[in-house]
Amino acid sequence: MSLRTDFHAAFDEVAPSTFGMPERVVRTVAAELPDRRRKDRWFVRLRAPLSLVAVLLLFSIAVGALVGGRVVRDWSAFTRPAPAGPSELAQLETRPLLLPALKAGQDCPETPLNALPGGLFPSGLYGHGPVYVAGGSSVSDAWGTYWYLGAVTTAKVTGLVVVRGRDLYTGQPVVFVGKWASGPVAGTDVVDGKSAEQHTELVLDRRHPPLNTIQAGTVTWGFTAGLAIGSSGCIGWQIDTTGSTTEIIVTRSISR
Amino acid sequence: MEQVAGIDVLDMSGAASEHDFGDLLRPLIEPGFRLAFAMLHDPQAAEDVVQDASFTAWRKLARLDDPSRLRAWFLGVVANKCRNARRGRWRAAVNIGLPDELTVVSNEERSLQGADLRRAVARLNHDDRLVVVLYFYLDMPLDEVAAVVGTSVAATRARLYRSVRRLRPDVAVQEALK
Repeated sequence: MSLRTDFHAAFDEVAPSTFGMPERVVRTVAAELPDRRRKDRWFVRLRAPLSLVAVLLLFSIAVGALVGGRVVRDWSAFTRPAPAGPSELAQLETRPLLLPALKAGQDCPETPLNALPGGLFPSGLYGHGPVYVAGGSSVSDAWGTYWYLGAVTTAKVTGLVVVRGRDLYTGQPVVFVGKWASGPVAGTDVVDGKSAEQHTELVLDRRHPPLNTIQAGTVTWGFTAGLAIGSSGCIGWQIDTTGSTTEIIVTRSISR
Repeated sequence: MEQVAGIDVLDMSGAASEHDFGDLLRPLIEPGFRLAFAMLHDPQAAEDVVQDASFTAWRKLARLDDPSRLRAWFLGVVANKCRNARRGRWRAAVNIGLPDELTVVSNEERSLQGADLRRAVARLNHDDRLVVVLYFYLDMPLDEVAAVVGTSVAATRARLYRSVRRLRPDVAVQEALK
């Protein structure tokens, strides 16, 4: 038996009868032709406009990508904090220190503790905003005493904060060491086992806050401040921002 | 008015042309169905394919420049629809025919041989299957098979030989082609 015969035998034995199928197919095609013709006409009519729409859509996407990218870049540049300009810092540094100079026998007018709204720092902070100071532990060495303190800036602070201080009886400057220390160098010392320059200013830039301390717009900044042996312990702090000047006076025991 | 196989078909928008088209189409339905059935192994899917191919043929009939090629042209449309049917959503539903291992016990050797052949055809790829079905089942001459497939006669012959070797590796090609 040839392969051709095998083919016919194999498929004919399972193929259904096609009786009536040609008429059925022709009738179905004839019945659906008007509907299909209508669809075809619509398709033909819409083909050109749809092509145009597709081209315009592609063009829009391309332009959108270009313009969108530019807008995003501009917006990022707009919202990214600009580096603190020297003029802003210079303006704050040149503000005169308004801290009082006390004479022997005068009381140290200590600033009362304030509670910060929102229940933050329940033990209280010094100051009345927008920058507060929190007390901390201290360590003394041959040079003097260092305090581990915290500054708290509220959401009102958007730019630079310059903190300066001095002993209100002796006039000795408060020095700062560590990350935020800035301004003129008053000396060097070994603090926490590391050699550190002692600066006379603490400069905080709200545009570059420590990321792990942001709480509801409030930022805490840990810093280290020190006073040399011979200080009275009555310490005045002046905290300057673009829109405010805050004075805080605290009393701390000093190693003598 | 353009004529295909002696029938006016250029004006496809009129009722008369629909009638004429029916006359053209009617004799093509059975070979179209046999082709689709042998390709898909599913009678319902095969009829759907022929129906769909008929609509396509109606749309594109005016483009047929050689009326003598009408049958080959229509079967080519059917073959394309079969390819799409197997690629598309029907693929999972189409009954390719038979399980790999036949467990049916039959005394009729012929039936088993038929089942073996159908299964072997089902395993061929689309183009190989198309060539053998057109040649052996629809009894078309090689040049018309080539016209349906859209390749040269030589290429079609080579494909046919290759497919026969796969179907009947133990039989000489010339013997099988008889």
